[in-house]
Amino acid sequence: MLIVILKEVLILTALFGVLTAVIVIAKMIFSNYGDCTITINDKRELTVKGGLSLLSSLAEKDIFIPSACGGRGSCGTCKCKVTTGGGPLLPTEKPFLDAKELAGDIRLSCQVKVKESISINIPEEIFNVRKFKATIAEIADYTHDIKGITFKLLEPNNIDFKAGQYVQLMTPKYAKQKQSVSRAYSISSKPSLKNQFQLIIRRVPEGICTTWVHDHLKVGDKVNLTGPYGDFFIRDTKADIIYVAGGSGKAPIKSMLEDLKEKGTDRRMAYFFGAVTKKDLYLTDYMEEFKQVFDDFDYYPVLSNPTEEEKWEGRKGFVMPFFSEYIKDPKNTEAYLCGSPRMLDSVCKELVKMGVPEDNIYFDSFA
Amino acid sequence: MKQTTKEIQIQKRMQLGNISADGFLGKDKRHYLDIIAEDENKILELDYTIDQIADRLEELTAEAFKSPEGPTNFGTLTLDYFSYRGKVTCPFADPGVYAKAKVTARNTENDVQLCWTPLNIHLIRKHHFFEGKGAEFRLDPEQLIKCIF
Repeated sequence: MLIVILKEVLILTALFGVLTAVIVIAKMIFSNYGDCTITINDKRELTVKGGLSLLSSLAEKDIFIPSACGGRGSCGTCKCKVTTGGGPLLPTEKPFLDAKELAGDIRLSCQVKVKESISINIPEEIFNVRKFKATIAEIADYTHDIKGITFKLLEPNNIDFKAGQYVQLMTPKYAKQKQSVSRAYSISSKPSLKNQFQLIIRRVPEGICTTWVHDHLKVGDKVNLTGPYGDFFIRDTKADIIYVAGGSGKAPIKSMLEDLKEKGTDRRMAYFFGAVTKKDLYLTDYMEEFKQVFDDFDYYPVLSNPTEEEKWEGRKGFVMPFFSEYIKDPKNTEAYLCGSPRMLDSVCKELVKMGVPEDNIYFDSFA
Repeated sequence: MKQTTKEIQIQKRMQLGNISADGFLGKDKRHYLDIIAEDENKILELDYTIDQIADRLEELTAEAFKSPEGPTNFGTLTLDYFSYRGKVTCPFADPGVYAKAKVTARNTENDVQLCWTPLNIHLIRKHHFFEGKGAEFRLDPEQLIKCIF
């Protein structure tokens, strides 16, 4: 009896083995897409091994399309135009694309698999994005939940960026976090400092990257990042400028002001910084110093809910009611905004109501 | 209990470090389906419905959002909306992203105070999931009903 059972078990095991081998071989044959060509902007061709996502295939060739979720199809950031190849639009892409994008062949590069030759269009600036290794040179506590982190670049040891652009910082596996994630942060230092830069990072409740930065990151630690990304930079015009920021949104505005200080400008400028209480204000003296640098610049910290003990004598409430103190010619005003989506929403509506053209309002697309 | 591949993936996404730093289950060792079942029973027992709770949370979130200058009073509630940069996804892998924000509410009549996120509302309405005990944004159904109604 035992021999019969053993014999049947052996036969079954052998059958499963054969079936597994058939599946593996079939997978090797049918999933082997061979070499595929990615044609970029009709002028550059890359040969890649088929089967990976477009995002990963490009990253392997050191072309980094911005992606806040690391290719998991959850952020909708890695959009690019796919003119040929790419297969049908997937249900995972649709929620992130509006009608105009759908009509314009825009796809999520993390969802498009390279299974055949493919043609894409990406902004030329993407070719300037590189992968960096850096070490933490300094960590400054700005407020109870905001830190300024200075990175010294190791490899490559210099970066070219425009004031207002951002990088994507990659977390390592830390504590009980089992996977690496990447998150976008605006550069807060001036572009002329080629071998180092600063980020201003606010703690987000339950945030994987900000918890790592605030609770685990130390001076001397080595980190990986990619950048620079983004089209949030000052346009070369003569228009008046209004900057509006809140929280860590001070970062790109600080970079812009430091850059303008070096390059010089005679543009009329005002900076409205919104915070809740006095303990949320930081770098106030530093911002005030720009009044001595520029001919026509004002800095307005505004507190929405100062405590009585703080005896705040400055502007109270939200920032919007104070715009009229500064904006004289709305049609000739450019706005540069950085902060939470809620702040951006309220400020944009108010600026448009005041007559500032929508095309003159700029903000980080990753907020 | 035998789990489907989808359930295993959902349970995995709820663990710490996948979508949020501390995950959606807290110290709760139960399967997420058991957490849902217990909370559904509690809501029935209290004579409320999931949709009533989700509708109310949406209404309060909209009220809190309207007041950019800080806390606002709405009936017996004091509401405050905090907004952060960035977005978060659903552990059930539903398409779409949710604003990183939180609403705090304090009921001035009974002093029950709690907070929720836009993702909480989606998780409650669509999945009947109030998160595991000990999770940062767990909404105990009984406390939640005491606070918001």
